Amino acid sequence: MTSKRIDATESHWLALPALVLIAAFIALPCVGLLLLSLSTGFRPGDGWDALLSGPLGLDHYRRMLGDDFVLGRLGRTLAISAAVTLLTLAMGVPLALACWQTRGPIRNLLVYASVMPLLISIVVSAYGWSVLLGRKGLINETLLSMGLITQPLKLMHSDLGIVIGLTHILLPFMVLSVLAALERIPRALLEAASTLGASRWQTHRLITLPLARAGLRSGVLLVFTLAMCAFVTPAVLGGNGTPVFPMVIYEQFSASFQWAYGAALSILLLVVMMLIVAGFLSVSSPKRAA
Amino acid sequence: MKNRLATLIGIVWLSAVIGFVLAPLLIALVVSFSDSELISFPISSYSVRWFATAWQKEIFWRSALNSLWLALAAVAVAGPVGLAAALAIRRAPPAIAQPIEAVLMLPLLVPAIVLSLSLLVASVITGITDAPLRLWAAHSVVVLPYVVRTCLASLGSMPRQVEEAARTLGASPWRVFRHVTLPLMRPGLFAGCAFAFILSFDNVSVSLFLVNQKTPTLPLAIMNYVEYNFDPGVAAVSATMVALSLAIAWLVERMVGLRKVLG
Repeated sequence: MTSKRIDATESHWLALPALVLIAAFIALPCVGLLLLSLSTGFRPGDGWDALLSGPLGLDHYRRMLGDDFVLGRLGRTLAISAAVTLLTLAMGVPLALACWQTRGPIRNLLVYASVMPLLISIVVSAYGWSVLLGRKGLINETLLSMGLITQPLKLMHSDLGIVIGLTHILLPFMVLSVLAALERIPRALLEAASTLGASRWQTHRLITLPLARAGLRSGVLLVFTLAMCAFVTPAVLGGNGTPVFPMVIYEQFSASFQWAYGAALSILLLVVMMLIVAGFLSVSSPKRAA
Repeated sequence: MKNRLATLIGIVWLSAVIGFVLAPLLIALVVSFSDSELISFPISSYSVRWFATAWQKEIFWRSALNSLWLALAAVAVAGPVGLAAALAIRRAPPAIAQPIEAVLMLPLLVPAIVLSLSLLVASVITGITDAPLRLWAAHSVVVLPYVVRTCLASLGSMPRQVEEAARTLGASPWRVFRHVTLPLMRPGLFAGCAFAFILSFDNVSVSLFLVNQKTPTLPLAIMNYVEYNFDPGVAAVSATMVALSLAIAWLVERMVGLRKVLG
């Protein structure tokens, strides 16, 4: 053996510990959850042997699809996620463009500001929002003292609070996705456009944004799916009876101990998520003339 | 003229967006220095007393220690395991490397609620219900992709020839790793581990189901505390956490650049 292609085959085993971790703590538990959602006789307290040998059926799924409360919550979650996605687009795209077009300290400032929510615990962000948006929060107190309102606005413990909180923590995903796509665009194109007399707005509309389409697409998908599954921020800013779907799942495990039903709801969440991703990709993919 | 107006609108909008991003952090920071018993506006006098008061509360310092140990334990697993996986991916032909890399990114794709619920179910039906143990497992696997990603980034910027040269000169694979590969990728490994540490330390959505409510992690202690208390103590604890996160982010930026870790 010459040693030119070093350790090409002898080093595959190095990936083994990582794959074992994923198998043990992601893949197997997910299979267990799927099994649980299909089991009709499982009670909390039963062991894995009961799960493996117990009767299986689609009872929980049938119950779920006839449950107006569950479906209503799902619809509302989708509406909240859509609002969050639109807001992150409106904020994230200009921010990404600005990061891309500036240089030096301003660029650094913009990039840092846009990734900040990722670096801070979402509990801290949610707490900050509750100080701002609460009944006696800064915003209400300011508006009241200015005489602009006579009653405190219900900014928190409402869908509006959830949308604000989620937009804040998910904005970095939009900015980073769009920025990654922008950075692949050759700058010469912009110079060409401005030489030919295009305004900045025209350049963005006709050249930059169409070329950054892949980034916009992945940003939209990331933000929408993350918003659908988020539950900590909604729990803090939405208060009791938080109307998001993951909260319904949470309650099956924490309050009503209907684990199998909760498992079925989790699977529903995953399936809806995948359907949305697939649907969105088939609608938004550029049609290539071959 | 029209152009200038558009630029102006753009700048105003961007400033508003940046204000929006920073607002909740700044308000936590400002409130943490308030002197009053309850959070109220406008803030009349400032002091640092809430930092002392809050950190003397057993619930906060104890849960901070829990979080610290948990994050260190998670990094102790994800660091070496992620490094090894990155080496394997880098050396394997694309047909093997790509599927392995895709599988290792799974923790980023599975929603936190599904991940933690499935681990909760697994822990209960197997009877292994020790909370620290299942938190350790969950956090290790959740931060793994970030270690793999930064290690791959720093391996990618290292020319293959240096390893091959060492090998040709007769060094054993271990010696090549120890004296050539590891020193060259140390910044990437360090940055990946530092980022993994802070992600684990700040995490709440994965911990929520797996934690023992009597010995919570710091973010969960904060979450429980704010449900019933409205004093600036939590702001002081939050401000401390923000300072820790920013210090680590700054270190990561210095070592490899934040963008490489965030993807």
